[in-house]
Amino acid sequence: MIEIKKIVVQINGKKILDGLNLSIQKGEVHAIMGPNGAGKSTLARVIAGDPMYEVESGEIWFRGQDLLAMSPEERACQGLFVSFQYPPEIAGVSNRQFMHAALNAQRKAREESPLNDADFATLLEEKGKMMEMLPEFFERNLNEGFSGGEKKRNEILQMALFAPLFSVLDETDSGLDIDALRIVANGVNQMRSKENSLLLITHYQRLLDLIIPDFVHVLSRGKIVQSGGPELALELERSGYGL
Amino acid sequence: MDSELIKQLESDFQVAFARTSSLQEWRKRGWDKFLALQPHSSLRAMPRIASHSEEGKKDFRYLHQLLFVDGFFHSHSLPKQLSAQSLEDAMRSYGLFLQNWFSRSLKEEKDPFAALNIAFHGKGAFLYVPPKVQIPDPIEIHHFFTSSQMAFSNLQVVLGKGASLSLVQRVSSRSEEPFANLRLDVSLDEGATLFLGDDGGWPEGAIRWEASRFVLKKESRLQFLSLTQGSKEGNISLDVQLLEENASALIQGFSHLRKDLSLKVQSTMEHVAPHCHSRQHFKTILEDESRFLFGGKILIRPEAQKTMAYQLNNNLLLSNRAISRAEPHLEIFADDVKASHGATFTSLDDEELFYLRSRGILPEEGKKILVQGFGEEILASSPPFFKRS
Repeated sequence: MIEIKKIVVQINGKKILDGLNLSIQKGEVHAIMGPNGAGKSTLARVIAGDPMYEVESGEIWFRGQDLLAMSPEERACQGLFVSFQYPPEIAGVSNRQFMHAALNAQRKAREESPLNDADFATLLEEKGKMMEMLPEFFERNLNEGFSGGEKKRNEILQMALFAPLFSVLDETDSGLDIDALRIVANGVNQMRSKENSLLLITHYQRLLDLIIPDFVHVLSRGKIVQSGGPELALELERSGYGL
Repeated sequence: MDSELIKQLESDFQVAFARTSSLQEWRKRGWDKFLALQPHSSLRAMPRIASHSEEGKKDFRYLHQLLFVDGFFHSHSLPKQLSAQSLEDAMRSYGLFLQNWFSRSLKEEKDPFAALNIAFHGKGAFLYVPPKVQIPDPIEIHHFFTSSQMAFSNLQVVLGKGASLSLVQRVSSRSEEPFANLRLDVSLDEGATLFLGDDGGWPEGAIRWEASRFVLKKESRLQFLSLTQGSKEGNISLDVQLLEENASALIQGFSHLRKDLSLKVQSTMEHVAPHCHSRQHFKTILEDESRFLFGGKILIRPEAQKTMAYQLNNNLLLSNRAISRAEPHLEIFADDVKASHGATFTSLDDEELFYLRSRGILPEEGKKILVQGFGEEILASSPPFFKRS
């Protein structure tokens, strides 16, 4: 699904990602853990195509295509979804308007017909129920005045609507209470299939109790320094990163 | 209007002009430029009778209208509860009232163009909403211009006690460079409510001076909302006087300026009585080499205790050649009030745009969504009929 090869990213002369390698196959769920400043969020931003992050060297191949040559919107239309750790608040743009515009932009790029208001409303209602979100939520301005938990749920709602092939969830569990964490995890688990893949970026084991990964990696100083199965997360929880 | 009154008004105008002969205020407001455009002698020529009314009518958007052609009040189609007439006719019925009103306005008027309108206003109109009459459907004030000759339009509106009215001002023009001096005076009696929307529609080549003056009595409510895309010279001058207790005024504007178009807004909110509430909020998007000036003033008189008065100007600059300036003024003579002013100047937020792009939205479409969102806050508070427009 995605092949990351020797990626190097520098910001202000400091290497944040330093030759990182990672390969994720179709249907797999991977988790990346690591201390603060290890480069986890930078990896998510680079995969999403944030123009503020310049890739110095390395390659990322997504479904056989050069991901780094694509614009952020092209990546999304090819089936990539990156949830934001801090989704921005956008005044005057309703959640519904935004999600409808985004879904239709992706459909257009795939040469599918756009969803009209009624069809989109039906889809939104269905996915909203999955995320236990009330309809009023869709009429509010995008992320404006949302609690931390609401923002994260809204990110997963988008993931459910867009049905991406590969998703990166950047610290989706941070700021969530137990109930919100359960809702988010349930939503993500319902979307798991043999056809799509997932990369979870997290600090804590608790998310991985609910979304069980196939592989766990430890990221430190811009590199994967340790990889293993779900048991690695439990071990890290006990002993810390020790790095 | 009878010739005696015209003579008197012209005389008053000369006095008013002489009184400010230091011309600091007048020059600040572009008087020199105005004189260069329109020699003073030509101001005395009474405007010609318009003969293109049918052409103006085809652009109506609302069921009820007041039509002005080249500044002249031409015709109306109003709900039966309302009474509209030319100022000439109104002078016969309300002569003393209007004469006093004009004289007072002329003496107090600081804006030279608004003063000029009173003295040379041609054939204006008078609209009266009797007490307790509430008109649910909006009335369109339609200005149709046939040439680039200066057109004076004057509309006097009086809302009786408990009356309610919605007005929407719209413009169409055969000329690409209409030259308009519009004046609107509104008096809201106790408990009256007015929504006044300005729907823009000015050609890019328009030279436009618009002055709106509002007097609010006890518990009356005013909402003014201006939408504009600017023009060669655009000037909006607003004065609101909150004369009696518990009156409230919401003055809003949303402008999207492109090319080298410009807009100046001078807004004065004068709190005379206690327990009144006001809010001025103008949002402007500037592209290319456009220019915007917001001069907003809150004046709170000593008697106006427990006033709440707010003023905000937000600017979204999409070009580094565009210029926007905010000149807020607070003059507070009462000691138990809440008042604030603020101005912001920003460009599009990179993070917001990246967020939209990361969801598949093309950059140009993303910018459009963000720009629309910027104005939505203002539009959201307008009545449904105006939002649709």
